[in-house]
Amino acid sequence: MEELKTHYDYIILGTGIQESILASALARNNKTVLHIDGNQFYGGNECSFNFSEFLEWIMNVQKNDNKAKQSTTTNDINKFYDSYHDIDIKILSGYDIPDNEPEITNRFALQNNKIAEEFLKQTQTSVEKDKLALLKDLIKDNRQFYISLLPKMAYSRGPFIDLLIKADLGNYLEFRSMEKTYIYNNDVFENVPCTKEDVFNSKQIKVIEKRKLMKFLTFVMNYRLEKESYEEYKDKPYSEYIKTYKLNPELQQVILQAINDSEEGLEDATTEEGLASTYRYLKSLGKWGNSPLICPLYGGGSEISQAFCRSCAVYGGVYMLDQKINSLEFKNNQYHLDCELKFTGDHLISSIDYLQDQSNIEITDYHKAIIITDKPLKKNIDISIYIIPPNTINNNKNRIMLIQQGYQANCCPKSKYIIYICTKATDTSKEEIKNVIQQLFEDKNDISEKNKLDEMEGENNENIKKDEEANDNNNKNDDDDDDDDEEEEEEEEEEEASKPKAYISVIFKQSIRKQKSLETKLDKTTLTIIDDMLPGISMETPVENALSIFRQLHPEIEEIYSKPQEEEEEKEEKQEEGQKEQEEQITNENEAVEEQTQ
Amino acid sequence: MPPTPDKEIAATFKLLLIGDSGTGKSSLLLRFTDDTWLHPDEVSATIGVDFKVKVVDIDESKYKLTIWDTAGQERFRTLTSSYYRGAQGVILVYDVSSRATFEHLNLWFNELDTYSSSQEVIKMIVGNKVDKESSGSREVSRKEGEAFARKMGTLFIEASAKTKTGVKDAFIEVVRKIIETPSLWQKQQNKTPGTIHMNDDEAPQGGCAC
Ligand SMILES: Cc1cc2nc3c(=O)[nH]c(=O)nc-3n(C[C@H](O)[C@H](O)[C@H](O)COP(=O)(O)OP(=O)(O)OC[C@H]3O[C@@H](n4cnc5c(N)ncnc54)[C@H](O)[C@@H]3O)c2cc1C
Ligand SMILES: Nc1nc2c(ncn2[C@@H]2O[C@H](COP(=O)(O)OP(=O)(O)O)[C@@H](O)[C@H]2O)c(=O)[nH]1
Ligand SMILES: [Mg+2]
Repeated sequence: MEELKTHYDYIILGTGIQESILASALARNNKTVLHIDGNQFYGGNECSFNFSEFLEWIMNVQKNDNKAKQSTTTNDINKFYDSYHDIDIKILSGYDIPDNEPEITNRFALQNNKIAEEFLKQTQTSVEKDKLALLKDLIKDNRQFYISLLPKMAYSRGPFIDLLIKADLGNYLEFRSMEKTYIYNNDVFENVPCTKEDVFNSKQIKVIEKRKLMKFLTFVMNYRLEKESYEEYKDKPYSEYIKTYKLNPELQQVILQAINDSEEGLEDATTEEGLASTYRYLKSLGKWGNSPLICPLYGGGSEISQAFCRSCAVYGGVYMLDQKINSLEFKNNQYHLDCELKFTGDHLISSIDYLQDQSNIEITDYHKAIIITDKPLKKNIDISIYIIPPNTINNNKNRIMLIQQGYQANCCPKSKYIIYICTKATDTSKEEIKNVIQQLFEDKNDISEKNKLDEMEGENNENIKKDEEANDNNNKNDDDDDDDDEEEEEEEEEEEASKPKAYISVIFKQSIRKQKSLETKLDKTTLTIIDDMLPGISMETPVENALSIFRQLHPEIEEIYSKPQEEEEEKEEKQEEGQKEQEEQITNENEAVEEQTQ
Repeated sequence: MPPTPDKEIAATFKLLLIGDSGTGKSSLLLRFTDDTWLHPDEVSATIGVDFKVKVVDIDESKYKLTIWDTAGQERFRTLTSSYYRGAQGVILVYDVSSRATFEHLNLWFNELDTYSSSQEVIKMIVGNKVDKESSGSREVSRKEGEAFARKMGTLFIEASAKTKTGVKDAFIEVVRKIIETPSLWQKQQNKTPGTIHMNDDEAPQGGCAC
């Protein structure tokens, strides 16, 4: 085996998206890179889990939290679990217990069922049969779940997509368009109009409002050319500037809350910031489908990290996961890392997870929830976003954002959905999230009602259901665009009938950590600490962060991904020349092949 | 030569190589796709190899193969999940002059079962470096290799990336087996509608909505 290098230009700790982008960029520019993660998986805080891993993560967060409460210190450098706290688990009650369980022989199924039981033992007061049956049912499709700790999407035009294309990562990633955005208003989620068609077709917006809205949106598309027209509002609140367009309060909410990618909405943004944010959103419309956002499949964050990591590896980067870091020291102008093996490096890039001195960091907490349901929030809609503006459900203080991903996002088995909820933490945010969950989801299987129905309608019921499903599918395939409005009306009636069931809902607090100030960022120029990614929907800020760090490290490199691609093209040409001859040989040799192989 | 037009391609298959570092995976790939052999001191030459594309003719149809190399991520078993995703054929390589690499095949089978999307994936075990037999350094007999492959229900061949022995046969046999298993690839050929791939960048609906 080829000797493994022990000295590297860069040692990178953590495989979050930003660290992985840097790893790829450095390797592509002939820097030697050793990339390490303390976890068994890629992605750091942007990781995603299958169902059993998710249960294990919950158990670990609980254990870690208890440990922290007893202030037992660990000597593990990896602080991954320290950013998750205060986890609450609720499991649907009244789930049908099968009369006779099929015998299970598959060792993985056995192991997964054990995890489910262990999970109930640790997190619930007792192991109830209905809950165990439910978990076992979910864990049957274990590997079809990709549950993300930081679900992200990407603008279809912007630095993230530019980077993917430049870095040529198209072969590793797949996306789907986000279908729709909704905003909570008068106790229902209303579709947010974003394309011209949406605006014109909308029945919720009056004609006169439509004109005003179009005027505003058209202005934003060109706002940078018309600086004079907003100059005096530049540093004033965006909300005030918007008022000058005389839009009704609902549409003002749409602009401030829904059509942007900020963490908390644009309520407190300046006009300058707000316009930039609205512009980024509008700019991405119409490239792929009707929405500006595309959703990475298979859980997103972790996939994106892995794509960049592979591209780093292709250019020589060395990867080690699941590393317990025994020590990390800076001496003689080098970093000395002691993990499974010993290494040295000239530079260290470290996720904040591995920062030994955690005293100089600033923490912003978010309250989040992850819910697995049997139904989408809106009928026939899979990948979607739901915005709950302040003061709309039981006087919620801050904006609450929901992201829904299902089978279409390759995150769930068929007819399961994951719903992520996120809001900035306040003294009431946890209650607010609970209220939202209560408002939108069912937390128990109502057996009595179901039995009644079964008795009354018997088999008929089944048939009707099937017909309905078939119809829905037809509708969806035929013409998505034209019938939107009609469909929606039907939808809302149906939804009244039954809310999605929350099979499992997990509420927790997540700390987003950031270095306090530049002076404390250490005097060594060879150390770069990467702050946590914010939970906003899009990928643009982290990409820009990573690229700007790269430019600081290597101001001399102009085009990060330029050279290697040219080389590749040359190689390809050569390859093609040789191809024809070889093909002929292969055909001739086919018979020989059959004799030789088994 | 211009690239083969897509309409002449009967199907596209993804193949991948796994096995311990140093067993000759990259060498087998280069031998098969470019018919080249790198001197052991030219190691850096495989840097930058992500996957290779090759079109092969089998029974008068053309098949496009994208064959993925590990990018060295096999060394500490940190292959990324997209590496395995959607593969129809897997070539598991050991070095006939190193018993440890043969014994580690078990671990590679485990890894494969954990990550690969379909259990039907065609697997081929390749005992590489048979040219070293002449210098007396063989540690795993052909019989042993065959027996293990039989036990695992996979194809088997011995090969040498250095002397070309068995290399084409290994790849072509996997492809033949894939062709014989239409359930493995026919549904995957028509990508799920609505999936966006960056490679076909500009999608139909251009222009800005505003
Ligand atoms: C040698 C070998 C090793 C395997 N290793 C794993 C493993 O490490 N982990 C594992 O979960 N499965 C493993 N499997 C199972 C195999 O990958 C799955 O059966 C396959 O993916 C098809 O799954 P299925 O949904 O059809 O359900 P089945 O194959 O019927 O699986 C039944 C149960 O096993 C679980 N399961 C299946 N495959 C996996 C998997 N790869 N990882 C976790 N759970 C799984 C499923 O979630 C389900 O609960 C292994 C199989 C074999 C033969
Ligand atoms: N003698 C001999 N050496 C080989 C053969 N194939 C590969 N090697 C050598 O084995 C070493 C590792 O090969 P490489 O292709 O890099 O292995 P990988 O790590 O599996 O990709 C290199 O020094 C190759 O020259 C072979 O068939 N015969
Ligand atoms: Mg190699």
